[in-house]
Amino acid sequence: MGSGRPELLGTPSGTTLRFGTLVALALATTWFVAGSFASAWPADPFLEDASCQVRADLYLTSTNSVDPDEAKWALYRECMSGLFLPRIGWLVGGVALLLLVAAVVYVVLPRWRVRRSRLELLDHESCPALWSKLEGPLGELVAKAGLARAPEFRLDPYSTRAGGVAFGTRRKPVVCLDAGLVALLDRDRAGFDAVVLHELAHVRNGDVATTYATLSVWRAVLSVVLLPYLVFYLSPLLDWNLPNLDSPITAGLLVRVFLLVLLVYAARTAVLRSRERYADALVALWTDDTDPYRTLRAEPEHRRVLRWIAIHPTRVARNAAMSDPKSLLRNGFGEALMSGLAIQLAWSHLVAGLSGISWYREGNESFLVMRVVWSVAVASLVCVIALRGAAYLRAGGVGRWTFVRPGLGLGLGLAIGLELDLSRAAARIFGNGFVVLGAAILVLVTALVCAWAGLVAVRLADRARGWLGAVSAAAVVVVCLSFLGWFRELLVAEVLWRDHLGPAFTLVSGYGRVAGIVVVPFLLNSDRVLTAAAVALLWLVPLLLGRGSARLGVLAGLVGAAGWGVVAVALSFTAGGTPEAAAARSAWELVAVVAVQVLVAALVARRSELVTALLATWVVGVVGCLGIWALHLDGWQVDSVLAARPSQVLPVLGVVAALGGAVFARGAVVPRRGSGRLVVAAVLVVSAVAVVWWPKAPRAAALLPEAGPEVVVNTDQAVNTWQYGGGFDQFMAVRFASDEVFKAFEAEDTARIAEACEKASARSEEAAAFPEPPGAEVAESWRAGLALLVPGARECVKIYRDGGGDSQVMLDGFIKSLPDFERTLTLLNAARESTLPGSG
Amino acid sequence: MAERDFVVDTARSVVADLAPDELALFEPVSRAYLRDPKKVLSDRDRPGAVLGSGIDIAIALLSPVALGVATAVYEHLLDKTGEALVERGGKLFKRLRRPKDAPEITADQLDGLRALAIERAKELGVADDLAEKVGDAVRTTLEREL
Repeated sequence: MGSGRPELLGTPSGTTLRFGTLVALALATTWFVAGSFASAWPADPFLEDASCQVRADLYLTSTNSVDPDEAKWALYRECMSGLFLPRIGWLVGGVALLLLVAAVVYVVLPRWRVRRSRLELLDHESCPALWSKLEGPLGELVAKAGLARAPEFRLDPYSTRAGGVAFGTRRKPVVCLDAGLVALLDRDRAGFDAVVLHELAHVRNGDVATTYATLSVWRAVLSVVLLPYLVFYLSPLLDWNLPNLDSPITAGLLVRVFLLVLLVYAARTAVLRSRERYADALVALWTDDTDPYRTLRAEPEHRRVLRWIAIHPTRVARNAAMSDPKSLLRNGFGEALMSGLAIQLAWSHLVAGLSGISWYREGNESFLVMRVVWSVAVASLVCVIALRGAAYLRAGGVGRWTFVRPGLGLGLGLAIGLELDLSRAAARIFGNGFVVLGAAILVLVTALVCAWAGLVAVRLADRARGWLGAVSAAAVVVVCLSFLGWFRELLVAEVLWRDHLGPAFTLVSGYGRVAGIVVVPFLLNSDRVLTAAAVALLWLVPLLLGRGSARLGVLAGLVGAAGWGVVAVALSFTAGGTPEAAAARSAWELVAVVAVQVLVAALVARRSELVTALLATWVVGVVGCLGIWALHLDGWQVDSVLAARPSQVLPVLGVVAALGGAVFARGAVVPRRGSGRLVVAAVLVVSAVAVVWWPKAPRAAALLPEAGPEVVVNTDQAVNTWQYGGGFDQFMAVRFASDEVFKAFEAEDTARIAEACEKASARSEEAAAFPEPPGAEVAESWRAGLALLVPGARECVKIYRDGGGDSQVMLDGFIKSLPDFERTLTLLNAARESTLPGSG
Repeated sequence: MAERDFVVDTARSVVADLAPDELALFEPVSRAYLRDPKKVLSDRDRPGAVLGSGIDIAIALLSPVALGVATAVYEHLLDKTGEALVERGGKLFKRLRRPKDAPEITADQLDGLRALAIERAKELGVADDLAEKVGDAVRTTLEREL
């Protein structure tokens, strides 16, 4: 009999959470699709949006460049606010419809199944003879399964198989027995018991409600969300408008929807296979037999490919679950990947919907709130991975990759989920090197976070359910928030480099090459307090749970810091007196701190655990911070921005150093002497000062160019937006009005000429008051044409309505403006054609 | 009604002789058979159902075979001796009085029906020795009741 049964029963399986992620994905996808429908009815938000962009002079093109002028954004949001109410109606209505359909499917499906398959109710009235025979054995099995209330038993009289199935609802679970299985009661009682117990295990585990609720939700999503969505987007193709296939949005959407359905199906079947193995393990436990189905071996093995989509696990997997239940506790790469992907996609679709009603934006707390939401969801998965992995190890499992492997899967799922976001249908999947690099870092950091959480869970052991467990879970949330919550910046990695990091690197490299390199991680960390808190938790939590040595860590850190002090003092003699030289010197001092951190970590790792090395590098960082302040302080000011906030980089680089030092670990652990709590408390107090407070540096050399990032706009897209936003209407109104004047002159009708000139004057003045096109060339020709037409039309009115007026100005206005307007039209058409699909 | 009674009663008798442990199950299986004989007799493997046991081994049930064989016998009798014989048979099974003018069934005819039952049982996937027993049981039942 295998070990691991107490852990199996006492450890969360995580499948409910995984089903939960699928439901969350379904709801968020519905939310997103409803937002897309809102763009089609009742108003045409595309035109409204274009109009608002024109009015606010804020052209949102594909460059991802953000205009820093908040006034433009305020004007744009105010203009767009009229569209939000119907959009909210769509969002709420879409989700309500989904839930309604899902509820109907959930309730009706079991009844329909009973009716369609003509399943006989097993009771005294329907099958008196059979029930009198089955009542006793089934009652015993219900008691053995620990069920307070027996499910409804039904018979499939058409099936001669020895199988059963559980279905129904939470209130009314049903276990259906095949006729062949019932016949086993007298022929193979052990086989009969095993199969019935398997179905009762599903009832006991709550699989019936969670499984069928999830299936109902996804059936509802397919029928009332994804199918209408595809029809909505592909309807032009139904008219054989095949060039639409070339549209990157259509192609990207098709690929993403296909992959979404495929992945959800794969995730669903993976969770179902997991539930089957859990049910088998319980059967083995209840029957005290590691092979209770030995007399029923006839099921064909799935082929290798089909195993991935099969609802039931292979025979080998089922045997493993029954003979070695602890194997169920081992986290799989694939299940973590699917969960991460579902969380990421759900979050992205939720955010897309919230952006549509302008809640998710700069200027409020939405970014922080949604980052916390994401972090809590991801931290839940990390906690499940950690708890299950720790239970697996406690039960005697072995494996160095127990936490890292699912961590890699989770990270990969998060990275892929970001790319499959339907709202990014126009973007190429992993379209540039920055995104690939960022995704690789995300995967690696996720694996490390899972490994750390696993370390904590192993130390927690049975205390995981107490307050220590709750505190540790909160620590996991903070760590996820800081170390993984930056993922959104992956989407704008190229822009981030182009607009911020690149210019800063170029500028600061002028002060010194090392300073240019140091400034990049310095600017990457936008919230040093949160980052430092997360890094502190990395060593603090395991230390308080009994891992590592506080005294050794602090001692090693102080010794290392003393060595750094000697180097830093020597560096101070080499520096010049300019702000640029101060920046370069502080960069060298930071590099020296990191070098000492690496050295200390390597030495500590040979004597103790990684936790001790983390503490040692932390202490080196804190003392280094205080030392840099001391060397640069003049009153309450310093002479370098890098010297003002060393804690912006040192905690994270300390972690990197500790991980590097861990390469030299020999597995030797020095026994702890005392808890070291006083030492830790002292470190925390000093650290709080070093992290929260920082001196100002008003005369320091700048790290960023004064001009700020240039707003990059795709001119053709912007001009196109201008046309849709009312610009083309203005253009055509002016042209029609001019044509009417020419026709009136041809007719030699003075009254008609006067009337046409009045209209031309009004239209041209309206056009002059309308925002100019956002392209320089087209704006110039448009402006030149209007500059002639406005006075020309005005003089025409004077001549033919009031008497007087300058006829030459009038003639110039109508005739000489024609080439400018022709040129304007040519440029407008060129802009429109350049934005068509396939234009390159 | 005559056909139903004949088939169910004959099959029940066969099951009682050869697989008495199935008698309790015979009742719902025969109801299902009368609703949809093909479905009961077809040996379709069921793909893995959600939250199913995943055990798809077929169990040799005699009830569907007995019902299938009884149907074949009934149809044969209908062809050979006409509705009257069957009507009489049905009535016998209901323990009604035997009409004086009803035709007698001969030993040769019973042997023929036994052979038919064996052939049909084999068609339904029953092993040879069990098929022989089914044939014997059918013959005995018909001999006793007719």
